Amino acid sequence: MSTDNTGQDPKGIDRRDILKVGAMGAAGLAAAGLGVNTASAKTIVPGKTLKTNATMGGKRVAIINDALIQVGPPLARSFAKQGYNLVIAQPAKGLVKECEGYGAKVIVVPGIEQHGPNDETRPDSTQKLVDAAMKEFGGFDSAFIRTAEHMPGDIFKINAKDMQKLYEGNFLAVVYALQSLLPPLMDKGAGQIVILTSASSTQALSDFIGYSAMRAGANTLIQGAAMTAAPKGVCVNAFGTNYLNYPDAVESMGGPEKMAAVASNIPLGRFGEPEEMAHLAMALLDGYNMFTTGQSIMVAGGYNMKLDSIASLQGG
Amino acid sequence: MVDTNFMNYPGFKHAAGVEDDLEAFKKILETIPMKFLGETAEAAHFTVALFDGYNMYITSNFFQVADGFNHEGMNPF
Repeated sequence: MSTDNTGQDPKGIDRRDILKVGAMGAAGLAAAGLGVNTASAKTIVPGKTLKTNATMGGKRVAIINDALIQVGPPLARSFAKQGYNLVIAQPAKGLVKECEGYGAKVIVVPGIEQHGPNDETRPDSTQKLVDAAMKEFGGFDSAFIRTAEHMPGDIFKINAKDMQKLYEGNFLAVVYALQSLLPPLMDKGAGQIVILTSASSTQALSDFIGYSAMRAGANTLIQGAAMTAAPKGVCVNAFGTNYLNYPDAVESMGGPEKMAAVASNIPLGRFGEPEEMAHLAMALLDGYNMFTTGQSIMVAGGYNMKLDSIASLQGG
Repeated sequence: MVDTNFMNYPGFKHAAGVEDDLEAFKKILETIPMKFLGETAEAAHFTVALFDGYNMYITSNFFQVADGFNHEGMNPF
């Protein structure tokens, strides 16, 4: 008889339970009627109700450290629409009320503004969000962390002071975030984390080389953290964007006119919208895919995988 | 492109030759970071987000849905 089956266990046993009894061994699991990856060992099927790590509030809980710009606001809306409660920082105007309108309880943690006294380069920045989630909901299930310290400079222009800032804002901040987020999720045996890095980590920009290099380092850090967390049922992925249409990007690109010139070099010929990025990020955060981890997922209109053609090299 | 491995469907166990050997199957699971097979529905959940029309800005990428196995070499112990 095949043990392959997509049915959900009627007793509600899920794979987290398998992880917790891993020491039993296969024979013990079989004797217990659980079997490794038998029908009783799986519940994560899209459309089915998920469990939550939260002990209060009756809903799954998501943390978003930057709900002001870029992917954060549309992610918050998506979570709220999917029945999550939220713990967020620096929300965009009207976002809290909008999410509450979808039925979410929204906890706003103050003092985590970029370049502020508790920005993400501080060791306790993400910890404040975790502490709020534990206090208000008794746990959380998903977390989206955006760290960002943008600074131009080629190999001759970067210096030790600038590199220190780039290191703290794009790499060390990720270390601190993961050190705060992972323990409670690993303790519960389930969770999903997406850390925003940059598509310039895999397709580096030579005049943003310090930034690109720190983002590449963060990707590797995230992969390593994912391997540490995997045996405890926690998924960790890097999500690298570039050429997104949001105010900071417009400014850093030099305004709409220069953006149009940049867009002509992007295979899809345009800048991406934050809502598009949030749509894919949700597939890594909403609990219905607990098998994708350690990945660096780049979202840049094909720029990160761009190939030249002879015709284009000839100016055609 | 979405690349999968260690998916829980009949073909995988048949190809691995472990349909009737739980111990051999467990040895395979020990080689992947999370120690269990993924559900095809999980891979589908991620894949749908790439072609349901709500994200038209991702192209030309290779996505691995394999429980991080493609990075398993980072943790040989």
